[in-house]
Amino acid sequence: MIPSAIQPDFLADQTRRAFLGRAAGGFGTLALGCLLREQAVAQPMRPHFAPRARRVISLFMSGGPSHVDTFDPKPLLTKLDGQPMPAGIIKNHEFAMIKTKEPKVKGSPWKFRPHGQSGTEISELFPHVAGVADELAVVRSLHSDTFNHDPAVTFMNTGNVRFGWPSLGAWASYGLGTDNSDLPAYIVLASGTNRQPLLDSYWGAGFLPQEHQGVSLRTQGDPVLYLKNPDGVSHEARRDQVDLLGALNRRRYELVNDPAILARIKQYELAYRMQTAVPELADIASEPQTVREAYGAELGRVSFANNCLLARRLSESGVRFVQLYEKGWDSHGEIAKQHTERCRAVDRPIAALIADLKIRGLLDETLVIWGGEFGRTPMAQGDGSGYGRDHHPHGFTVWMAGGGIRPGTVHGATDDFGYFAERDKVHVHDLNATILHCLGMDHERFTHRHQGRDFRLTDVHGKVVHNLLA
Amino acid sequence: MVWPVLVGAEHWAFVPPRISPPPEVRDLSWVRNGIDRFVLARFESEGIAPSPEASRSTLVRRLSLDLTGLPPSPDQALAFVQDDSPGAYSRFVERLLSSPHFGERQAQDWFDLARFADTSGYAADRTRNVWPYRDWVIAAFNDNLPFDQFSIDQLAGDLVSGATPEQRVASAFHRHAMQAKGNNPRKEEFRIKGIVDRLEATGRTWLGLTLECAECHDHKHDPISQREYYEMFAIFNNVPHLGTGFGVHGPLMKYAPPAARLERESLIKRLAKLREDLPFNQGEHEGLVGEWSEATQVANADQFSLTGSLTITAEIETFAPIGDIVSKYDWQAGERSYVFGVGGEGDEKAEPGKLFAWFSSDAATFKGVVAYGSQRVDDGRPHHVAVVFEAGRAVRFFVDGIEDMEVRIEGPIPKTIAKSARGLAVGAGFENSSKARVFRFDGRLTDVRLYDRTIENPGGIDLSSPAFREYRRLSDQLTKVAPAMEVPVMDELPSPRETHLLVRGDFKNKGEQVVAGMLKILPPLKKEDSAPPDRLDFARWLFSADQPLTARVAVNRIWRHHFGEGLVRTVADFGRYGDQPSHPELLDWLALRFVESGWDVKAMHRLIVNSATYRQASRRRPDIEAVDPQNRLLAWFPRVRLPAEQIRDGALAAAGQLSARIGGPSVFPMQPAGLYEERGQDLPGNSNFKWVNSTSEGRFRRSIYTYWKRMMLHPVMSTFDAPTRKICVAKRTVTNTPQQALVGLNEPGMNAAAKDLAKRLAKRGSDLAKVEQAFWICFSRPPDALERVECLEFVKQQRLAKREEWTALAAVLLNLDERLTRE
Repeated sequence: MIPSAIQPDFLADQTRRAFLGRAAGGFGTLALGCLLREQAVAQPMRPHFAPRARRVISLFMSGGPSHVDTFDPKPLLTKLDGQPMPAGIIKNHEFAMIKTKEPKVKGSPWKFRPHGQSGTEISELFPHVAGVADELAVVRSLHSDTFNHDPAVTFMNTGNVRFGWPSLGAWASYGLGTDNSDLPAYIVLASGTNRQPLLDSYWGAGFLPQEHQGVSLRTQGDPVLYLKNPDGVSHEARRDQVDLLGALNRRRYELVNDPAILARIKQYELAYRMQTAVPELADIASEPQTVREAYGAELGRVSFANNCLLARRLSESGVRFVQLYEKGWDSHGEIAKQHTERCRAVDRPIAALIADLKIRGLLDETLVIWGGEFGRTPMAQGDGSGYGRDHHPHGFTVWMAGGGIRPGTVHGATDDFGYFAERDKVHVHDLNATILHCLGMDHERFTHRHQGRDFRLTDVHGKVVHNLLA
Repeated sequence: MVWPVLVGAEHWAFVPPRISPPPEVRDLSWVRNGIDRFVLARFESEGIAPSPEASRSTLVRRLSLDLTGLPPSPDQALAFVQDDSPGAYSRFVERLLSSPHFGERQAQDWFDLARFADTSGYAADRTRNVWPYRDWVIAAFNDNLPFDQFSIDQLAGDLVSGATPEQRVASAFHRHAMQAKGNNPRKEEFRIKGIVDRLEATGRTWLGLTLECAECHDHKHDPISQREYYEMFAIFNNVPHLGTGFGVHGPLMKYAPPAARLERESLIKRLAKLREDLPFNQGEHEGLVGEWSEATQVANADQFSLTGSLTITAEIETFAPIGDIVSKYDWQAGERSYVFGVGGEGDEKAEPGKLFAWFSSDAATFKGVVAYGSQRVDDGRPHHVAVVFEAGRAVRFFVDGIEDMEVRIEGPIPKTIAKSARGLAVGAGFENSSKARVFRFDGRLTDVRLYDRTIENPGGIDLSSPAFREYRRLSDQLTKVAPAMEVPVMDELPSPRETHLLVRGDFKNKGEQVVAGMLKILPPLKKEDSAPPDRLDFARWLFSADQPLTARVAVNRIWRHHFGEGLVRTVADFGRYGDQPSHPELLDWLALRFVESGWDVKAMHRLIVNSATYRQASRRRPDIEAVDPQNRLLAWFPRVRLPAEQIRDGALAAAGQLSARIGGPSVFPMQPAGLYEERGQDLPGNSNFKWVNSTSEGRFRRSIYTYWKRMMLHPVMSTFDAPTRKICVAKRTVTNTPQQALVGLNEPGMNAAAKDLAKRLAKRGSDLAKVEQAFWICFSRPPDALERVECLEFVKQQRLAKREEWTALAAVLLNLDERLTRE
């Protein structure tokens, strides 16, 4: 069920109104739409087959949300709560922070129940997302290779634990180009509580040309660094400057014949247009208040809700890959309090985003991915009410929805403790292969030559998980 | 995998360079040196004529940017353009080669290979003191240190016999690998990653081999087995790896830059000499109750149980940051009285190396005063130190006769001192028991005297004597000399670590044990004794006679510096899947010249920039592009977008603001507020670092001195494709993005440069004179007729609109493609 705040007909109504607004020569998207038509759309590569998703919205829960408290119910943990974790399971395992010899099983304090026609079990931490359960394909058997934050986030994003490899979004930009040459193809938005730093390399282009790296849209101040003219320079004055730049650059081109100069002229024009287009697009004030309320977005705040609404606007405008980072999931202690806060911050906006995309007819071609760099241990870290859970890469959950994904599915399972991925295991490389597949790219043929070798997102691994595909 | 022997021998790069005399050519008039014969021979066989020589304006800018990274000043440019005497060109080249900015420009590219950055990388991206390495590299290029020595010092400067501190600083090349720090990174895993990084950087920098491809399995294209990879790995696997958590680190060395070191040494010598004539501790004071000349323990607890005012003086010489001078104190047993020493027994509030004293009025629980001095006395120099306890009134410290005026006092000063059942320990330490054992005074301790009253001038010397005033002046000066800091260096374990092949590159999955060795495809790494080769052996092997790669890779990189592309375009991959050289004989000829010259780097730059090939115009030739789209034959000179550093430095130079200072610690040119904060990179425990914009000169230093934070590069640098230097980069990517336009026009530093350039023009009279001067500043040439009209028209129009017309024009000129490009 879609949450009441965003009933289909309500949103449809908003969409119609927005459309009328655009048709009447309104704001924001109109400017972009015009620019879009004006520009030749760069298409550096052809997809290998018909893409099911034209674009991606990645909702990255940085720090690692607990799978056993959210999307992977484990009644056994409740039953054995407080007892030592069976030694056979954790034998030879080391943990990031748990140092006790006999870590104790910890049941989830949150209740799970089935939702929607699919009956997908989701905990009460996600009441709104539960309302769109039938849209989700929940992967409960993901596993990763590494358990520290930065290598693990890097691994999820680039398929390699070392820095220097391109991120998924950069690959998408490299392979599929952009649908809107007035905007970067890959945009990153951040929110949440600072517990772990976000590193540029998470959305880096690695050895791909640097224009494919994610552009981080700042949520306060200039949305793009240095977007605003210096004090005292009006938009008209800038127009004059760009005109003179064009004239003098063209003169140089006549003399030296280098097409790079023409490309530079184009970039100055584009920058000039971005100065109008990006603030309009980044300004959620132009969304009707009811829509903002549906997301839980509030003007002037830095929040995941605002970013979700922004993600829809960016996606709608043709940005290939939008990635949202919500920081603060690294709950080594006080998980009950911290996860409650985080879920409260993301639950409603995510549900609103999915419903909104669906109503606008965008969900079919937009792939939404939710997850973190790993899950959290079924054992407690620390004890008493201040307990937390440690990093856990051996079995955890992500879910996907939208373009190319079979809705209302649960794929794979962890063991009864939620410790190891057990049935239909999905490795990070498999997940990335599947995402590329949705975008129409064969992960084995989608390569870039660097240092004498063809590199790919999935290195020499990865199998598409066909069960997840519609 | 077993490679057939022939595979290696067949590949050109694994065969030593062949002697290849420059070929005969038909038209000798164009030829200026050997390079041109190789290039022209190809032209002639393809029926191509060389491009005409570039204009003097283009050449002066090209040379200046290539060799020093700075545009020529308008006066320099004008002088060069007007000087048509025969030797004008090469004279200018010599001038640039001897400019101290030559080293800065060459160092910049080297730093991409060295992964030189100010921070440790990964999440806890902490600062490390690496700027002395930067200074070393810049100086090495300026002094034209031969490339073999330059390389050996960086790979193994620590192992060279009689290594100077500077050679050890140079060895930091392989200490720039990223280092994960924090609560939970697996130490061994990240130690291994550091070595993988060293191999990758060594392969790219000196061998032109993608060694990293053999980390997890045999190399797919080149004859490098995984076993051989780990044999080379063993050479680099013997570096100590110390500490844990956030404190994990490789070897460090206390280092002061040479100038500071010399100054310090000379000051210390003069102070020691002066001190001979200063009668410290010679004076007689009333109330002496005890005197010792060495560490000792007084067993009788009743002796020296002073309860009122007292004074202790001593002559000390120590490098130890913590140690007790006099102690009648045992807190665990509840026997507190008084203690005086250095470093506060590790007390949290005490600072290592500084005086401290505790006086308690109650033996059972501490009731009294703790005093902390403000000056370090653990510098190994002789010091006369004293504490004066004035019951109920004050605690005073004296160092070398001078009262420390910044003593921190905590707690009430008791009227009486408690009696302790412990004996008096003099330099013999202290322990929470009846026997003094820990915090022993480590160093020289003499003339320890205990008085039962306050003494006004415990040093006992004439404070107004000229000798003492001079002593005091020099002491003050010494505190101002840059202190030694800890810099990363390489070091070798006394006995090598056991190295295993790591199955699939997994640090936990150890395969067979291997010993240090060299790839079979390359000449053997010989050693006179039977010990396995170490880094120094490896570094010397790189420059051995039959080694086929080092010289080629190095000259190819120098070539790329000038022509934008190497003769082998894959500058870090000379393997079988790398690029074929466009002019193989030229490459070999250059490589052999380089070796014969004694690895003379400046000579190679000189040779290249004096060639006719280099002096060609950069106008593209569509007819030739049709047959040679990548300009591999060099029928025209390639235009190259300038690196980030030169784009910013050039704007500062045009503004007349660029600082010419060479070397020193990193600076912090303005960056937008909140950048680190919004990414959580300022978190305690993690980076722990706040960017504070430089004021004054720091804003105008060359970009090579900008603080290089790996996890969040300065946005002006990253926008123009400067690498973060997480890993070794042999060739930067060059992009053309709208963000570059935004930086160029809106970034506060760039905007300030436009304003300053406008101010610089104000001195000229007419609009036309201003426009002409602006063109000379930015492009080393006058505007042509069309440019003149466009600019004058623009200025007029801006003036009418009441805008700052010259700032507006300056911003346009600073952003023109010609300004951002080396033509």
